[in-house]
Amino acid sequence: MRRIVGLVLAVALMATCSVYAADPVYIGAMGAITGGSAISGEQASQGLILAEEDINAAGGVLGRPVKIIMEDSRGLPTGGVTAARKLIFQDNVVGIIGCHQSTVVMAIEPLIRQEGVICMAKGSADMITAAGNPWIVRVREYDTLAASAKVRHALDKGYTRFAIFHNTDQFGEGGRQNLIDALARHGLEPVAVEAHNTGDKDFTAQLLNIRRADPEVLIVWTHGDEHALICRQVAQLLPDVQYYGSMAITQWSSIQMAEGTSEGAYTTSPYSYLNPDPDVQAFVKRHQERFGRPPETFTVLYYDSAMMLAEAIRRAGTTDRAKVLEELKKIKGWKGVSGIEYSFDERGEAFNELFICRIENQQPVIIEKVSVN
Amino acid sequence: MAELAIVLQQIVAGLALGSIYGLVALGYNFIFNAVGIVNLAQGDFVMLGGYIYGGTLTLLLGLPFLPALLLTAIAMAIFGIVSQRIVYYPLRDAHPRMVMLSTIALGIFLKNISLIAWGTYPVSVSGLFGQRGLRIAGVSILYQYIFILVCVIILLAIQQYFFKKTTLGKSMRAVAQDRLAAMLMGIDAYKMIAITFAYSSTLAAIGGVLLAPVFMVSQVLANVGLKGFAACVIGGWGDITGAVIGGLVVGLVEVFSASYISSVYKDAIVFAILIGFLIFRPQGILGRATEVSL
Amino acid sequence: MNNSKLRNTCLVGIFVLLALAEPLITSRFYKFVLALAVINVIMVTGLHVIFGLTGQIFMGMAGFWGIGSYILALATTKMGLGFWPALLLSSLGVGFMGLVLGIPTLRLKGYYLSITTIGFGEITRFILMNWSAVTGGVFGVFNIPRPNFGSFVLTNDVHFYYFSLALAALLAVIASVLEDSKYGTAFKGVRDDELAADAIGIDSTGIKVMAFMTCGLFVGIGAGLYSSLLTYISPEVFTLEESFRFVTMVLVGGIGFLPGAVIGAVVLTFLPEMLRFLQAWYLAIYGLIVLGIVIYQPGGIAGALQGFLERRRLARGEEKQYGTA
Repeated sequence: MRRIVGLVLAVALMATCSVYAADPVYIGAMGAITGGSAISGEQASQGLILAEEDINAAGGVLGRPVKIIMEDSRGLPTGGVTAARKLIFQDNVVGIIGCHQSTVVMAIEPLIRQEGVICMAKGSADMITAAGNPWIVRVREYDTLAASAKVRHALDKGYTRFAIFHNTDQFGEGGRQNLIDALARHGLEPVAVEAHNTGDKDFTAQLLNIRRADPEVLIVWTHGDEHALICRQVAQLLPDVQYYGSMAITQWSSIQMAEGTSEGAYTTSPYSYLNPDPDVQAFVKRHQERFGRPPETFTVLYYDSAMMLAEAIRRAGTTDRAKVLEELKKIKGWKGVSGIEYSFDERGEAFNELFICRIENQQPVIIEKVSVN
Repeated sequence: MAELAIVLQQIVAGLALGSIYGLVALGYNFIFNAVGIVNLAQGDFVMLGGYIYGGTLTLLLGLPFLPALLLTAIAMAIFGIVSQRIVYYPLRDAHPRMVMLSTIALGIFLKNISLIAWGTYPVSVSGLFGQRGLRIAGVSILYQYIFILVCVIILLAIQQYFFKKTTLGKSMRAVAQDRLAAMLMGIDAYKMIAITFAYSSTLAAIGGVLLAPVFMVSQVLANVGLKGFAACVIGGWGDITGAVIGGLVVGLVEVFSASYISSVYKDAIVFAILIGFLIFRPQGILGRATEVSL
Repeated sequence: MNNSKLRNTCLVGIFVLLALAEPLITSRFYKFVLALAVINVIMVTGLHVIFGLTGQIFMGMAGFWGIGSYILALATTKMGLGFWPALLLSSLGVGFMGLVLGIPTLRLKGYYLSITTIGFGEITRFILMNWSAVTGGVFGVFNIPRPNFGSFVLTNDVHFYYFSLALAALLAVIASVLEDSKYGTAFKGVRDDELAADAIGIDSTGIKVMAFMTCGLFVGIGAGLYSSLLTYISPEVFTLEESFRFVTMVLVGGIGFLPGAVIGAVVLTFLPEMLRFLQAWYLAIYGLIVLGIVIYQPGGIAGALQGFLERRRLARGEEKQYGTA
């Protein structure tokens, strides 16, 4: 018994005494590598692999190479809090890119504040920057931005009867609230609001309830897998309703999964692989050659974040987190491979513009670029 | 009129889902009838069947439907025999709770090894019918769902015939009821058990193949296992027709509770009904199953 | 050395080692994992009563854990209760849930009982997620306070660790006393042969309800500590996979031997963190390890230990004794 315990402790000790070789500069990242949202984590890590190559090809930072360490948050707060501690206390990272789940960001928020570590959040819930944590910046479109852009676009097309169909997780609940608020600003109320749980496969009941309310527009706020299935079922049950999807439906993989049923759907997205911008196309081509498919939204967002963080370290001339954060927040008009120009505002939001896309011939075509102001 | 179409559509959706659950339930039932245990990895077997069919045979090798189906069935039958050897055979004399734990562990392993083998992107295949369907009086039905229902009825008939009429089926039931007595009568019990796993894995393979076009294949697909289990309990353990009826009941309950009670609690409601059956009517809806002492 | 003596010696040894381990671990990351491990020890002590002693595969631990975490979180942040009354409420609340879950499942055995507890866990998660008026829904609960003694608040993770460890030790003592009492005998009777237990006059259904309730009282404390350690909780954590993780802890340690369960909890809290380098492979390998233990070492670590002691005893020519694992 003692021997076993001793062994366990010995292993624990060995693991803790890991080398603190001061050579590379460590950048942390977090995403789901296992679990239900592992697809987002895979997209993220592909972006980070390319970012690490590019940063080091450009000579690294401060004359040192950069090493990006991606840890598994499982997409859950429990996994996130240990992953963040590992990155901060073991790897001594300058900053953490991620997580793509808002709940995980909220769970590590007290730790980020206490330890003073930069967090480049990828969750879209408004509460992330509303928490007023100076160490958290966001490189992703936030829900109010996406919601008001969708509503404004639909109103411009003359629609007034809106139905909302959302996931019950933090992403979907936040989206629902923001959509209702955005509609209220135009004096409107949704004619139907329905919800589904993550992992659901059949949406007939909800879609039929929506059909009863006879909407002109259906705004769906959910993730890739469910989105594709909802597109298919909407094509069967609500063929005449104009579909507005979440960012997920512009993803190459989602379009394949929808098997043509997402045709004609609108959405807001920070990125489309069809963006003719040469920077975007160069990245798409490189990713396609390397990984066999076009990059997805999280790929480009994690890539851009890593590049910006590296630049902030260069400008700061040190890995001191406070100084790096200061430089990071000074970044204005940074052109990312997403096709968006990032400018951090006083809340820490990098996004103030967004694309409206439409699925045409199974491609996410950019219709227009909308900005906050 | 519009309302009638909606209700009819709900019924169609309930039956469509229900036939899927019934199909999974047949797999549970077969093993239960033959060995007297419950394979809690049955849902993961369905997922694996879907991955082999969709991810490897269809997308990677580009095989047409029938050869892909056949090869999936063969692969899963072999997998069934192998996994029986690993998760059941060494524990044949242990307490049934150990078999339960080993099948759960197998399920975790399968889910996560699939993630590595086939990646994190859901596998989407069109199957025979894609997204095409019928539209009658405002009610739309995917051909794939009709196909599933037909398959379930055929499999149900085969299973009924098999256990009631064939020597092999009768031997299997004898093994389930009393392994020792069956062995004394000269039945090779362990061969019977191997065949049982092979067949129930084939059922899971068919389930995966039929489900892939409508649900896509991902780790989440394994969740049909719990619904299939609920179908078995509601239909009555060991009752083959009951399993399919149980499946249809679960499907209808799911759609109607989502429509009229709460779409976010629909799974909770199915679980509550399952618990109700376990407590108050463990012999199932038809009441034909003998009291199970699992 | 009889089994209670062996158990007590092992427990004392483990808790002393856990107390000594804290200063030896220099990394603040592993210090935190150690704190999580001790909380898991408390949870598993609860599960030990129902799974280890009474032999019921309880697959609803995530439900107990979720309810306990939320009771403490809501009592402190919404009702303005102090930490101590909230922790008590959390323990009693989950204990009461044990009673509520235990009574209707009186007649259920084996698979049926396990599936019922799976259903219970899943229903709990759906309610925590969707009853947002009370639970705050998917957005979770923020600013959960740390324990305090008067005005002294345990914000320091080290203080929190020793506090949890003391509670864990106390609960282990209670569990051991319970195990040696006549109830312990009854628990084990139900585990080893329910029919025989009934035949010799043990009220097996009443015993199972009691096991559920005791488990709830213990888990409520562990769950309360968990939400206090993290200061933020949200409902999507409390899944069936987590329930099975707790069952696995008992299994790895050895069914029916409390020190085994405690070691299982510590090992299985550290293992995923140490195997982080395996990335996506980790869970697949974890599944294989569990499978291997069920098949080749069903007694777990404790079984291996008892086998070892047995052999040594035989080698010394001592009188043979039978273990329970």
